[in-house]
Amino acid sequence: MNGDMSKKKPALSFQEILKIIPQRFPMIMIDKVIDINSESLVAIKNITGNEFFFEGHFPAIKIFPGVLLTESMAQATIILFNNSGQDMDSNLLPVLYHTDVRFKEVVVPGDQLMIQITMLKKVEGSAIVEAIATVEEKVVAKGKLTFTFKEL
Amino acid sequence: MNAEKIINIEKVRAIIAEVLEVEIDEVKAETDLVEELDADSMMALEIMATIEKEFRVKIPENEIQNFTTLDAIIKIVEKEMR
Repeated sequence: MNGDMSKKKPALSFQEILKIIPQRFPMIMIDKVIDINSESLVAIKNITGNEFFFEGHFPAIKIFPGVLLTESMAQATIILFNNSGQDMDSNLLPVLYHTDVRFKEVVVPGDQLMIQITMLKKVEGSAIVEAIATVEEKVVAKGKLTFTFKEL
Repeated sequence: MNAEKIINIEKVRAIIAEVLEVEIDEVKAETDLVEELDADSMMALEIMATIEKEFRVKIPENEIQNFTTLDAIIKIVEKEMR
């Protein structure tokens, strides 16, 4: 899963991701998926200084918000869930139930986030995953997410 | 017989208390996790996943509805570890 991925065709392109996740601008927090099977996934999110939230987070120093890093993990999980043989009813929306994420390093413009998701437990309509986010192979955040599908 | 020795009841109690965010003392053998400790189905799933990992056991998905008390959970885990 390491090494130069820049010239490889992604497992899922940005356009293909949009067919899976319900989020839209400005809340799309995954750019591509580079590796995926039924139990795990590796996704990429490029952080640029042009993103809307940097205007206020913060005015003087630009730091990628931890909640959006968690959102990246959650969206990657939706894609993994979709790939694990679960029926995704279009009337159901994926929502987080519980997150337990530690943030080890700040993420700033120019960083490339690599998000690795591993399925810990999956039942009908719900899952618990382990998520690890790295920048240049250094762990910037890791934790567990529990999410479920809800009719809203 | 051996299963009882393998399962650390205090460990299961600690897992339940951690997921439900209650004191360990509040989780007694017959305490109703839903009625008395406000557990919901997702918490039951988290308890199940943690137990599976901790005890290296696979619990069938349909058993989740029987995760009602510490005693009930221990019985299910013992059954699956046999």
